[in-house]
Amino acid sequence: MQPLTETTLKPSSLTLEQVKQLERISRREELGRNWYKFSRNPISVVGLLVVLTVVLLAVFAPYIAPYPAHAGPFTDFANAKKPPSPTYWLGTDQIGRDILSRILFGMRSSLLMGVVVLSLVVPPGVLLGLLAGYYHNTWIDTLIMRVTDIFLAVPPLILALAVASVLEPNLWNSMMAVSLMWWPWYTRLVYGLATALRNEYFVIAAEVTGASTAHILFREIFPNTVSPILTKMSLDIAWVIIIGSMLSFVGLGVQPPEPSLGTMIADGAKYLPDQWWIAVFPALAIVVIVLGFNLLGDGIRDMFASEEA
Amino acid sequence: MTQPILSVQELKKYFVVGHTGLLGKRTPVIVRAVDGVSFEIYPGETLGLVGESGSGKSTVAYTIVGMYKPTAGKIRFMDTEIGANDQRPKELKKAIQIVFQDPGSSLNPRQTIKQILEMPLRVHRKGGNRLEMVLHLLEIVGLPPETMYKYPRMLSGGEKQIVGIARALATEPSLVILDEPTSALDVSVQAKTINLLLQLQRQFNLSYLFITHDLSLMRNVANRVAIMYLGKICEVANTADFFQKPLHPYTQMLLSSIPVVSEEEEALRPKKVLSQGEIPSPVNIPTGCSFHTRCPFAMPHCSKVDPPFVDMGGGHLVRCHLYP
Amino acid sequence: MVSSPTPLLEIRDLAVNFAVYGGELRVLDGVNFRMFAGERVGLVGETGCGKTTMMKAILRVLPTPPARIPRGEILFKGKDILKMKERELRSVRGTGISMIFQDPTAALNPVFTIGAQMHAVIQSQAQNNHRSIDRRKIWQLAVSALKDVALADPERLLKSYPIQLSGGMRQRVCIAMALSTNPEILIADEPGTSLDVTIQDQILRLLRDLVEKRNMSVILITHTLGVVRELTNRVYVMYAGSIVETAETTKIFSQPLHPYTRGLIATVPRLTGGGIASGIPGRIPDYRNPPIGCRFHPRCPHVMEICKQQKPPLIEVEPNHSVACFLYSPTPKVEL
Repeated sequence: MQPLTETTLKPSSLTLEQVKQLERISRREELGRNWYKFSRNPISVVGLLVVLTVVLLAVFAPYIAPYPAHAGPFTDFANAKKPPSPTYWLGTDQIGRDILSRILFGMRSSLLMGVVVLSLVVPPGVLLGLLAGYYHNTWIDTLIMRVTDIFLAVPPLILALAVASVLEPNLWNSMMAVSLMWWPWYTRLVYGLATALRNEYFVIAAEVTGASTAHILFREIFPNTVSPILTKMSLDIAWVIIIGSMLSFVGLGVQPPEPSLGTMIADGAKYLPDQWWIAVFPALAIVVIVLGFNLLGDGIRDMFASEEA
Repeated sequence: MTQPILSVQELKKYFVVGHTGLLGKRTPVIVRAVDGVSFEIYPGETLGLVGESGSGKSTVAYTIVGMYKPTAGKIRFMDTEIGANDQRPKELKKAIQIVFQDPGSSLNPRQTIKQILEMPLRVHRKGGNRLEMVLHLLEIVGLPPETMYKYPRMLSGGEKQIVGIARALATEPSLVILDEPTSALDVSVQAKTINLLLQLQRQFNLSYLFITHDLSLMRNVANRVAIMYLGKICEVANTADFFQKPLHPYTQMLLSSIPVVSEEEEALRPKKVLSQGEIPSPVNIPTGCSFHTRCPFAMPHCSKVDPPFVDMGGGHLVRCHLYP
Repeated sequence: MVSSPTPLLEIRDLAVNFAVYGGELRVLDGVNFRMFAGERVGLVGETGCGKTTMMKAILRVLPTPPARIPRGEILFKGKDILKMKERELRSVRGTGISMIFQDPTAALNPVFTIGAQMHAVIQSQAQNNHRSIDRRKIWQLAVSALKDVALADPERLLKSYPIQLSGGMRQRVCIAMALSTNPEILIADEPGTSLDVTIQDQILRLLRDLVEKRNMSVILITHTLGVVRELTNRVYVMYAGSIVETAETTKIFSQPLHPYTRGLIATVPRLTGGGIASGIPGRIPDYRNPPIGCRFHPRCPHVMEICKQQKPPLIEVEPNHSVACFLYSPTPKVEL
């Protein structure tokens, strides 16, 4: 009664090697197409370059920074508040530390915060969104989405401030605080997408064939949410960096003497406008990082958006 | 007589689409999408199910394949019977497959053709070399092996539909439901796809439930044809009988509406039954015979009494007060 | 040539390219097309053959870039649309050429009443003709336009929103709007094919009555051959960016010449039964790298050596019947 099995599996006309080759060629073509779509807008390429540069600078800060020691407990009152010069390219701060070196190390903690927060936030946020969306109009949906609503109703910065002030103020705790208020946005995003995708015929085909729920969630629905998730992530990493800087600015983030862009701006603000470089350069660094990630996000969106071959 | 592979008895599928009235006095708004449909499909046969939008033909298909649970009635497949609230066993999911109308939405845009074809293999054909099986499936439907690593957007509409057919075949089904498989395709592509389907049917002794609104196509692929209007079947017959002497006024209206390309075909179209009116909303199905609002031969009691099925000989069934 | 009147619309050697990843799509490749006042012309071809691109070029709504028109002209009453100024173009679009789309739901704006949308159409047409028109007159025109398309109770209809109408009624409204400006050419892009057959039949019958009564010139774009046979008196068959055959409608169906036309007609399922022909082998070419010579040659059962080298010109092989195929034209002699 299973007629198809009667046909013996004919040995395929292709050798395994040929199949592998096919796969390689197709992969390469797919990469080429994606890069074409991404690079059609030169601004996205600029964004990508900025982000790459920032990441490299941050990773190799100890080797690049002219005065790595200035990122730690260091004072040199003789050279305090020096304007930009060939010795100190971006000048020195109120206790004589090189601002360029401190920016490079500050970027490290900013990026670290962005990466850690997103990797804490995205997996649970996405998973809950997939579940709630796929089980639309059931108790699972209601439970997940109402909890999400509660978290969304708490003013995010205040929650972060509360957590950071109850616990010991440091980088890790502020990351925890930011993560706690961030996941619902991913749940919301994926929930909206998943409720629409569950009605697509390819999902129905998997259901009536008897595919497992895990297969439907992760192999059928999830790949179609990757583009908006990635776009949101690259925009969010910029936001996390800003919030991290804000927490540092009010003294709840990275603690001195460790450098952070937020603290540097806070400290430097006292010396405006005469010793402007102390506050302005860290602020510019934030602007560049945030802008870079935003442009990158646009490029990623473009890459996934146009479906034509 | 041979045992039918599928038999549907008094199948009903109602949907609640909303409510009217205020709190406490709310009455549900019910769409009777399928309202007492019975038919059989025999091994190796193609049954054509024809109807316009809102006729419930797709709901019948989706209920048989397990997307919806029937509101009432029975679906019997071989020796398995599924009633209103039964869980569908896995063997049945393997044996009944479906090919959807829209080749665009029926393939996951983020999967390669290989991944798409692997899904049913993972579920129903554990073990064995999956890569070999995918290549074999592509060969059966006549697609080149390079197709494997392509994404659906790189294929033409016809090729996408063929991948959909290959996916349905992957579970080694015995009944395939074809839900307007070619209505989104051009005629020359339709011809190729239909010929492939007919060849596969012979090769693997498949039974088809072929759903369409295109009677000319039906003439050439179905062994028997059933016409649906507003959730009920109004005429069933062998294809040849059906086109030679269409009995139900709705069938005649459908036939007279088809644009044709030759004089001989024009001669087959009933001239006197010009199409008039529109299909009423399935929320508000007319009383009696539901077609009476558009029927040129409507009599006073058509709006009061729903006609029963009458056998006009040779399995030609019609549900109309004009007969016998 | 002396006695023949100026064609209402004439397209000469029109080419259109699109820029894409990895090169340029050469979609239209020398289209020649001509229609006279009062003709009802069908433009037939499969998805991706360039029908829509050609229509967009006529209305000059192709986005450039990515589209580019390297050569050709589109003459509307002798004037080249491609060279027109924005103002001239507006009057061509508004009152010279009207369009009915396949999907009546997408063609109507869901947030305005039918009356408001018809009002806008009639008013802008009056402005294009530098006439002033008052609200009462517009209303009367709208009511009579809806009556023309056999819609009952037009006053109430004008106050309703598109969502309150059925698909068939929306299509009728679209036809009424397209006709309310009294266009010289009506372009109908797959009219009614998104509707059910019984409704489509009503729409086609209505359209045929209206254009016959007004002796209107119509271009019907479709891939459904049956619809062409019911509605037109002349057919242009398009394949991969050029016209491959044109003749009177009855002639095309009784005596198709081009192998593509023959294949296309053979694949239509017949009500008389007899199975379905195997279709035309192969598929529409990749426009990035179309076949040299006749673009149909890789799929043609009668392919000859010359077909792979030269593009066959559209030649009149008998009165009013032209075909672009070397099977029917003497092989061009090599000049010594």
